[in-house]
Amino acid sequence: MPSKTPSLRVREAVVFALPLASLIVIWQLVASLDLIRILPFPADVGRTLVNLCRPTRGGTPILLAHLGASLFRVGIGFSLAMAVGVPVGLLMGINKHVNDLLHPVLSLLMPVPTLAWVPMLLILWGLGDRTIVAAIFLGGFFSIAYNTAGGVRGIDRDLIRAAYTMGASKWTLFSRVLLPGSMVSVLTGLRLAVGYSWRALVGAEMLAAAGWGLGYLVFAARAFSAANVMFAGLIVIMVAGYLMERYLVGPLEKRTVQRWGVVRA
Amino acid sequence: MGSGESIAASATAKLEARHVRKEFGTGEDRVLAIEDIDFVVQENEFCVIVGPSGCGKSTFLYLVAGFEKPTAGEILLSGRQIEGPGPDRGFVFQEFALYPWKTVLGNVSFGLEIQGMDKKEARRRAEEYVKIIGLSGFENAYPHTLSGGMKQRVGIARALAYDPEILLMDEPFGSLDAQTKKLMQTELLRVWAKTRKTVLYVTHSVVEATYLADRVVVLTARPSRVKGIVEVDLPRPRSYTDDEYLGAREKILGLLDEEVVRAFERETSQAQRTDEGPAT
Amino acid sequence: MRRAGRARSILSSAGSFILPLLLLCAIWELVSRSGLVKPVLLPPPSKVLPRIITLAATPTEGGGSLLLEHVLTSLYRLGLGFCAGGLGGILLGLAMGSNRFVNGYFNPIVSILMPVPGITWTPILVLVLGFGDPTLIAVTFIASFFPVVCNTASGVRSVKKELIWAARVMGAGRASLFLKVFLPSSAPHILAGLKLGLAAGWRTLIAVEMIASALWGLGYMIFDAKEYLRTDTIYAGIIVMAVIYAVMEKAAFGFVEKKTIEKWGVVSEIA
Repeated sequence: MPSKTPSLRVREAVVFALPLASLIVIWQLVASLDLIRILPFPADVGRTLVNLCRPTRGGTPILLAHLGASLFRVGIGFSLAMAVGVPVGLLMGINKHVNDLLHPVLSLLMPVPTLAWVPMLLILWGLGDRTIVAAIFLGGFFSIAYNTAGGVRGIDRDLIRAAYTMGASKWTLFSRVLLPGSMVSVLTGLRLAVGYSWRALVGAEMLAAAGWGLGYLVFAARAFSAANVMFAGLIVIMVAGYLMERYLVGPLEKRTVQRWGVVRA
Repeated sequence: MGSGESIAASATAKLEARHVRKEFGTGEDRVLAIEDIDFVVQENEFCVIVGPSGCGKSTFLYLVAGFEKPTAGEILLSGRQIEGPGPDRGFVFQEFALYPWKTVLGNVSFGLEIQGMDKKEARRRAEEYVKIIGLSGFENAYPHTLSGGMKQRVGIARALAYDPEILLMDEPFGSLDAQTKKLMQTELLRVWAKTRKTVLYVTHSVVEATYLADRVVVLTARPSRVKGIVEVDLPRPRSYTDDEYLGAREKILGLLDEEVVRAFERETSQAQRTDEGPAT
Repeated sequence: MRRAGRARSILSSAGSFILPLLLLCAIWELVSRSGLVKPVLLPPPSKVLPRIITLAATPTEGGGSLLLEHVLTSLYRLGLGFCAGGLGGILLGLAMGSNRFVNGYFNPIVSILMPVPGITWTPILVLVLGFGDPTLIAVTFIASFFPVVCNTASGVRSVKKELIWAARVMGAGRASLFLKVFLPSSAPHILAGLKLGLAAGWRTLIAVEMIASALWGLGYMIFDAKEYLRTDTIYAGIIVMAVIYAVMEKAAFGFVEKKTIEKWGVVSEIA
């Protein structure tokens, strides 16, 4: 695939940014016309954003501290979801009995909003990191397990027969055929899980954080009617979420499924 | 083809099918795909099976490969009963079945690596075979960049690389266009001439069968039996148009046509669907 | 003969679904009673299931069942939010799928806004709309809107060129083309999007009911129960929620899919 020329990239960036810029203009208009009472001005929010990024006496800028706390939690929660979800999914894909046993439960529990588990977690562990990380884990686990299982079951049967005919043992089949063969679905599951984990993080922080975290920041700001801070926090949440969903799994996809031609670049 | 002939032929027989029967499903959904297939493939022979659609020729090949087990009867390779898939029987699939995450070289050397060969040695052998099939220069290409014909060549090289006792081919050129098919048939014979491996080849095309085979086994419509066996004792390379070729083709068609009509009539009169087993 | 076969197959597929659940329930019951986990944390099904009944039987001030009141409130909000979100999503999706400029304008906006969790919008909405139904319906609207837009747009864009040309050759005008080619062709995608939108709307609604102090609603019921450590209510609420969703999905879409996609033989498993 030919790489993009710089001028093409610039043009793409502009085409992308223009509609967003227009949104900010609309926002400014609505605020100036005072259509919605509480709505802060974009300029004020921008200023607050910058302020929050200034280093404080303690060292780290406030915004970065909150962002760091959130990223830390999401990192752990997501890694756990991956570490448990992929093996479970693989097991379900390989073994019909495991699949028959777990599939109904998984498909019933999957639509349950992750936040619905938080009250349980709060009773268990109270406020704090453990509860939040657990919520994030639940958010990502289902999609990873489900997609991985589907990926294994969807492998072309001929690929498996070919391996057996060449003398592959069950282990060889697993490590050298099933794993790479299910890569597309596993990566899809991971990509979805990034989004779900981030969602779970923000919601859980609103309910269960005790001081730090983007979700907590926004929630607390609302309690104090600090609209500027609230909006600033929301923008950071939006941008961080977008960047993660787009760029976290991308490079992995490039080196594997895109190179193999299994997925269109 | 009675068992008397089978016993006499056992001397140089590579593959023996003895009263093989295959049923799918249970109870009311039971389907008899193969009623009684009984014949012998000699060593170094290029044997082709033809039959009408749905007659079970691919099913039979799967039985030889070990992907399925016969309901009754036995299949012997060099006198040993077949117990499951294994590297003594190479298999070439109609849809190529190449591993998309492996390069051409990787695919060809896969069998060797699995069987424990040293990596360097496996690579060297694979390179040899890539050369034999005429894809030098494409060693590091991924399958998705190859044409259908090239993919199947890789499939053939992959199956030959670990030197199986017999090569099983399931309509290998069925997914290719007419011109590529013809070229590939010639290619296949060229590669085959180098090793003279025993080949059991399944196709629905009589033209192809007559061009490639030493012997052609014609199956009846489902449930299949061996309707007849035609010797094609012509030197290679063969022409598609000279009299001897056409004569052999007519002989085979004579046996086949009846069965094709029978299979077609059954299809149009029944609204039954079978789920099990491969398409033919 | 055929009807008996079909009844048997429905029964067996229901069985293969329910049987493992029953088995899991049995394991759940054993684990809870064994004392491995604190009984508060994992109440056994023998406590949770009757709790559902109790909640259903508890009367509210105005008469009527407590559980029903919560459920109906949630469903009411879901209904309004999803209808608005679904309709809006289809309209925008159709526009985006067919017009390059509309797509060019809205695509970046949708891409940036879509990953924002519905919960995140809550503080803003509460600020603007206050606590209560308007905020909750708005959140449901937002959550169900995006999947519908995306799937509808991609559905329209994936209409095969040959189908369009065939219609044009037969003399179809703009309106005909739209109604008779684009709509039916993108129907599977639209339905997939609506399915996703319903799921997203339901999930987000329940979650926000917890944050936005709703006073009524399944989400609120679950959240409030933690104050009294009534984990049996929490689990009861989760089960009711899951079951309602499963029923909704089968009922709402099963019917529509049968009449359209399955009849036309177009693939229905796009989601």
